[in-house]
Amino acid sequence: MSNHGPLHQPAMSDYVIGILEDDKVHSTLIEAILLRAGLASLSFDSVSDFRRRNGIHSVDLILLDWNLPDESGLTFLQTLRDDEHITVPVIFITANDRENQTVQALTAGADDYVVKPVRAGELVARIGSVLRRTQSASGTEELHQPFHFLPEQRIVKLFGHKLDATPKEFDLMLFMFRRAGRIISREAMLTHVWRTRSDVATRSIDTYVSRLRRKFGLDGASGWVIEGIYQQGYRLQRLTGEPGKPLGPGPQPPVQ
Amino acid sequence: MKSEHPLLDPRQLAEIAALEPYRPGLRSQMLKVFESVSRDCLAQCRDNPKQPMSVKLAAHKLKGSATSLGAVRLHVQAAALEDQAGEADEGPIDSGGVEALALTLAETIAAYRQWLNQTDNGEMMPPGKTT
Repeated sequence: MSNHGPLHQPAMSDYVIGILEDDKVHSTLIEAILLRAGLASLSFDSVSDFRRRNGIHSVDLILLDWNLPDESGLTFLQTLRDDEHITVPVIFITANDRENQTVQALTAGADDYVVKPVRAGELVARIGSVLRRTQSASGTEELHQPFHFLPEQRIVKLFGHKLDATPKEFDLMLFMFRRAGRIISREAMLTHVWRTRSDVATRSIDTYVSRLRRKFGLDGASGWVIEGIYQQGYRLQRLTGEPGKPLGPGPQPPVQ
Repeated sequence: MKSEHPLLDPRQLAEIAALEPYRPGLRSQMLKVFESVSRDCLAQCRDNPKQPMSVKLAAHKLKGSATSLGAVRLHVQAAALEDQAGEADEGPIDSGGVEALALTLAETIAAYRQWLNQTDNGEMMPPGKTT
C-alpha cells in the first residue's frame, strides 16, 4: 500500500465527462446517453466556454468535437498535449470520417476517435476502455494521509479512526481528494455529487464545504485545507509539512 | 425525383426513445433544439451564397445535427452541400441545393413530429415506415 494517492479503481459513476460540442442536438443526445450509463457530464459549447468555466479542472475525460466555433478541436487538443501537466483523456466525436483526420487526431494525442452517428453502447464502452487504460490504479482503498478511504464500503478514516460522514459528505470529500490541487467549480460538484445542475443552490455547496472543513479538519488541522478560489470554486490542498502530521490544534485524532 | 434515402432512421429513433425514461422529454427536446439549430444553419446558407466557407460550415453543422436526430436524407443532402461549398472556392453556391435542403428539412421535421405523436399515443412506428 502506498502512502498516498488512489489505490482504488473508481467506478464509472465516479467520473465527470466533459462534452465540448457546439451542436446542441448532439450534446443533448450524448448527455442522455451518459446519464443512462450513470455518468455525470458537463457540456461546453466552445473552447472559450470550456476555459471560462474551468473545464480542465472539472472533468475527467473530454468528448471533443472537431469543428468548434472559436478554435478547432484539433488545435485545442494540441494545446492540451503541449502542457505536460494535463493528462486528461480525450475522445474525438465528429462527423468527419476521413481517414487522414482520424490519423491527425490520434497523432495529436487523442485517446480514441468516434464517428457520428454515435451508438450509445459503443460510446459508453469506449469511454470505459479509455478510463481503464488511463487510470493505472487498482485495489480497493485510497490513501491521502492521514485520510484513508474505503470507497466500496463508503468508509473514511482519519488517523485510523472511522469518521461519521454522511453520504453526501463522503462523496464530496472523495471527489475533492481525487482532484487534490485542482480548482473544482461548484458546477462540477453539483453535477457529480448532487447529480444536478439547478435544483441545489450553490449556497448548499458552500454550507457543505464549511462543514467538511470544520468536521474533518479540512481547515488545515488535518494537514489538508479547502481553499475558496474567488469566482472559480474550491481547491483542496495539502499543507506543506510531513504528511499525516497535523499542523494545528484540530482533529487529532478523529473529529466525529 | 424521389430520394433513395429514408427521411428518418428507425434505429436512431429507437435509440432516442430508449433514452427517454432517463431524461423525460428528451424526444421533444431534441426536436426543439434541432428546429432552432437547423433554422440558423439554413439562414446562414441562404444569406451567404457568395461565401462558400460560411455555407460549408453551416452545412457541416446541419449534417451533424441531422445525424444525431437520425435524419438520413437531410444528412446526405447537407454533406453534398458541404462538399459543393468546399469545392466552390470563391464562386457562388447554387441556390437549388440550398432550397432542396430546406424542403427536406421541412419534411424531416414533419416526419419526426408525426413519430413523436405516434409514440406519445403508444403506437410504435414500424421500421422503414417513417418517410
